[in-house]
Amino acid sequence: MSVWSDLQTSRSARTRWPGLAAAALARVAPGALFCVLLAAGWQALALRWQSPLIPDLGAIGTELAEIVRSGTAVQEIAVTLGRIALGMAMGFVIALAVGFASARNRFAQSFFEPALLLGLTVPGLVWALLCVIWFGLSLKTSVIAIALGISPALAVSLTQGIAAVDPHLIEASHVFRLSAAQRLRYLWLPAILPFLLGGLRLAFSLAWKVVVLVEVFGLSTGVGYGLNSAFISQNVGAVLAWTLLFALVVAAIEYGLFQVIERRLTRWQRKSNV
Amino acid sequence: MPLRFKHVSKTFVRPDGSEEPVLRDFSLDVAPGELVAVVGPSGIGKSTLLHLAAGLEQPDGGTVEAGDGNGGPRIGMVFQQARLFDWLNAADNVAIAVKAASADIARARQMLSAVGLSRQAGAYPLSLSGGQRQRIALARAFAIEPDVVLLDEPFSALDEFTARKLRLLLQQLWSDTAPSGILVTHNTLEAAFLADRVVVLAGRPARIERIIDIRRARPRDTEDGLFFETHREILATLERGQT
Repeated sequence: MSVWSDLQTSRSARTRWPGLAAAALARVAPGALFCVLLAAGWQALALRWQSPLIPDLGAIGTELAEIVRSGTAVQEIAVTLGRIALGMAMGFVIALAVGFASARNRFAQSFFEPALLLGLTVPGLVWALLCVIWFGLSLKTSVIAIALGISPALAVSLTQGIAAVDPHLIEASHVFRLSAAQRLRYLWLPAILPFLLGGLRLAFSLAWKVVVLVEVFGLSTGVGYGLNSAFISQNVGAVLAWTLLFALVVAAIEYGLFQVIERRLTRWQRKSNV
Repeated sequence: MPLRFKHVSKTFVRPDGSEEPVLRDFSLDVAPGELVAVVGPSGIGKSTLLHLAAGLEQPDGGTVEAGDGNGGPRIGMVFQQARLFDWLNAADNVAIAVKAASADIARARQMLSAVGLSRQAGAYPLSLSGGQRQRIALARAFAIEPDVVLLDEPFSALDEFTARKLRLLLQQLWSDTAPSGILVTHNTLEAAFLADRVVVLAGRPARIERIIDIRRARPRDTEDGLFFETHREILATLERGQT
């Protein structure tokens, strides 16, 4: 059998794979396998060491159930997510202004370059500490710390996205006299969308790290506060339960929000057959 | 609506800072409803003429006038590559230009049908062939009820079989809407078949070496001997211009 017919066979075999459920299973299975192996590895470690520093899955599950049953989980996660949302909104506005200016204007690009480099290298911990010192124990602290923490990375993503817009399409939109609003809606936003979504994902993970630090250092609500309480009482099971809980929330946001939006807005892209 | 280049000059600055005059005191009138083909060696300034007419570049001297002075003209342009918004389907790619030109929105569907793509109205460009994408580009240029249509090697990226079909389609669209226009092409037979006049450019800065009138009404027959004769004439002029 020739290489060509081998290819044909494997392709047609792939397209014959039965049904949507099977396709969904194929998509989820590798990730699920990783989680199962991680849990099994952890359980083996816990059983081997028998130490309160490495609680087994049962102990973590008990803590998890307790946090959820008492209502603390929903309450604290909602508070943290609210802070993240506000901080990301503020960071997004800053990044949008800096990103557009940097991509479209050489002076602005050189002007903001040191700020972006500085912003990218400053750890989230520093922003958290400084904002707690400057703004005290308030909502403002977490929102500003998140905005400062995420805006450089988001601005870089936006700058790259804007710079990557096909100049031929910019010319075509000029010839056909698209208005500024039409260009924004039909040219700029769709063209930078893949970069924007990538940037928002990164920003979300950075925001989470910053907000937890702010909550640990100076706030009496939120997931960070829950983690800190667990840490003070040396309850490793509760620390892991909080971490697991938030990981689940992040996964829900990734699969239920980011990926749904991405699939919907990039359905025009041609998928490779190989 | 006429298109006029009056004593136009344009100089580009190379990366090393030296100047490259492309056009100097260049004048050309395109009459209402007329399609003028511009042929000449690569880099002579053919595309610069189109960019000046489209407002993508400004002349250093002289003027480029499109229309009769009453409001800006509607300019449709077809590029070598279709230059469609990949994230909009075929119908929306045409409709967006129609909306921007404040033309009748029904024209979007009509033109898509005129170029034979009514069934692909909901298809995204990346799922279509190069020929189909170029058909959408033609529909977009003509759907805006253009005063001027600029064609920048519109069929050079297509296979000859598809290009032939699209030339006939362009001829039909030109007969129906009668804008003024310029066709820049390297294909001298294409220039002879589609244009009312063929302008042969030579030299640097570019000068008009010769203007050849094609006296044939549309629709034209691709096998008409006149086009082959003109094609040979253009080639001979191009050779003369280079010596």
